[in-house]
Amino acid sequence: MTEHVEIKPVPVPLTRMTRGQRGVLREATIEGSDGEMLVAMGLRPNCRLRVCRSGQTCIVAVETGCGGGCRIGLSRHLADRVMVEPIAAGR
Amino acid sequence: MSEGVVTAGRLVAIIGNPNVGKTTLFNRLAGRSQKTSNFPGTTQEAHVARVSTSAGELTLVDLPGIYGLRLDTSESGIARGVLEGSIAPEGFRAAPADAVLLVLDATNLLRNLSLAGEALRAGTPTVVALTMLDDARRRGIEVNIEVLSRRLGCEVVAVDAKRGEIGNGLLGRLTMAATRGTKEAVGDDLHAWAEEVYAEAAAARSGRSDDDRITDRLDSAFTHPLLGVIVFATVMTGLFWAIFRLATYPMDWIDALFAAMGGWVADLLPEGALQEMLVDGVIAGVGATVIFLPQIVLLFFLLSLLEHSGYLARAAFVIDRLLRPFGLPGHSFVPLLSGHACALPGIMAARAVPDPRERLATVLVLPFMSCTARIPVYVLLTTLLFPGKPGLQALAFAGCYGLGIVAGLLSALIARRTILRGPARPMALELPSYRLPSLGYALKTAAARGWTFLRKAGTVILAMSIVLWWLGTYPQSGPSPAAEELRATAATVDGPRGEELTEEADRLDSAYRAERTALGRIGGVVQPVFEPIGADRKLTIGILASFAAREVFVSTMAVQILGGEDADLEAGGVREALATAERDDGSPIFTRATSWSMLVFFVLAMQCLPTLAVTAREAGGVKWALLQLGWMTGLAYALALIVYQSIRAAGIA
Repeated sequence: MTEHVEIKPVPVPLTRMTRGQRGVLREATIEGSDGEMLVAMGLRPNCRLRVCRSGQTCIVAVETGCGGGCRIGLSRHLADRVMVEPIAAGR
Repeated sequence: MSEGVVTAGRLVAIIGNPNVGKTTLFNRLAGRSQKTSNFPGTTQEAHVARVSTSAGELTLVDLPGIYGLRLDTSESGIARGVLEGSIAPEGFRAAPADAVLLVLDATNLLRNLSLAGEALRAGTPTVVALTMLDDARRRGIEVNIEVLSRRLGCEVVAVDAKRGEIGNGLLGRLTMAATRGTKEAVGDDLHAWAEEVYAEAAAARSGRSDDDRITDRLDSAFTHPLLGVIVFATVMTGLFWAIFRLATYPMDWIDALFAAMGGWVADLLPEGALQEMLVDGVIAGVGATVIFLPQIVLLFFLLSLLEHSGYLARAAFVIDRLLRPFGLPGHSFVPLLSGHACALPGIMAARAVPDPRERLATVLVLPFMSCTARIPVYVLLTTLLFPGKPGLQALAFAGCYGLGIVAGLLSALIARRTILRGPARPMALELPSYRLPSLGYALKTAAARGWTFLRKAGTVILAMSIVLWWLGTYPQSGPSPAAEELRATAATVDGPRGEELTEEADRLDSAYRAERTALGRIGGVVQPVFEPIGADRKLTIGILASFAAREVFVSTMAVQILGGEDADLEAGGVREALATAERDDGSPIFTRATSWSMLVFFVLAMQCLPTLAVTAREAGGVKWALLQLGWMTGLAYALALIVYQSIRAAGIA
């Protein structure tokens, strides 16, 4: 009997995601008021993101978490601390 | 009337996330009745309006856009304070808000609901204005207003602030709004509550819309490391071309208007102290300030268009990389660039910098940027340094701008490492949707900024102009004995030689009288302070006079040396006269060492009273204006001293 083992994607920093890639925000290791601000802006755990631009300036469209598709720009410093679980294309 | 009903004359706080159409809605509700002031001790603007409804009067306060009431930001603190009654806009009595107008954006309703929950927990009677419904529908989001109203426990009104009829309907509802016990319904987990309400009241289609695709492409271009910089440079070049070029026409008209006004007053009033004070003090002084109004209005009009188009948020990211090493965020760029036209609008534009420390650092170093008032001084001194060499003149001219920028950035770095020490707030910014900016809103913003400039800076410079005119005019002394002798000689000589002698006598007379005025005497006393940087008595008077406004330097020097008040640098004769002007001991005033020293001093010194007044207001205290004055002028003096003494030590004539 064959056992199916689902391999869950490992969360990666947002800066490692490429343009057009989607993912689920798992954790943001940003403490203090900056972390609270990101949550209030819609970057909450388990929200779905689409990377619109990666690099020094990282732009993400928050597909769930805002209720529509707000876009948030993050400096590399912040984007490095946002851990995202990539979603396979087509899902 | 049940408990909690809003009665006439009560305070209504308007709250919402940034970019939800809150201010547009406020403008529609307020009409022309709105006033702009500040929240005390902050740089945050407060828009307040008193409006009448059939049920009575309401005072509307438009609060800054916030993402949450409990966040550690100055905007959230203000919103909390107004709701609780601990803060009120300047000129208003602090009292808890009687009602809340909660502006929710249908395109980002889930996030907006978290703020709504926080506001509803307070139990204040609330009305919700739901905006951007058309945009939401285009994105495939449908909102059931009845369900939303039931879940929030308050009236929800769909509004289109730009087009729809919202005036009395919404205001009427605000006067009748009552609490319905939503406080308990929200519960402890705000986000869970928001998700529950959203799931019930809204339905969203997944997938990317056409708008998203266009936005993706524009974002990629505008924030690209190379293309983004090119677009930014092009936009800013256009902006400042408009400010420097287009504004010259209305500036010329204002100049002509004030010249004509001076002429009318001079014709109407008999010669005497009152006529002189009005013409040379009030009209000339106010005219010299009002002439910058077109640049200020144009700057804020264009900035408002750029901001509402959605571009400015993208540009902030492009420039953030360049300014970060100096402890300043990308938001500081536009204020710093505006400072090259005039420090006043630049300092006012620094309100867009979100972090208080970074905002203060921007305000403090902004006057290092070479404003247009310095241009006449740069023209004079570079021409004296490199006569007949336009290439070198241009290089020195550009060098002045460079020196100001370097000094400003390094000062910001020092401030951020010392008195304004604190973590750099990493850039996280919502990028609003691209949209066609509203001309009406931009005009309103520009008019409000222009009015603030006129009211605040205009009053200061008006007072200073009168004081400066008085100090430079009184006490009046009789004619110079040397001039009298020359006139007597001139009377015995015919032809051009006689005319020359009379002109020379007039010059001597003006210089003699200037020396004996209060300003002239102060110059004599203060001169030892400026001697180490190469200034004689006349230059000292020029420097002192220019502490009110830099551009006064050229006319003050011309008045002292030529004895005439119409200093026109285009006239070669004036330049020639200044180049060959002599000190009291007969040695030249503008040696190479003195000219370089003065150039450095004028690039760096804080010599603008209206700027100090605006700094005190925007930074939240006179101490910051004094620090700015001390640091800039101290640095200017130290560098001018090094330059002057080094050139002299090198034996350069």
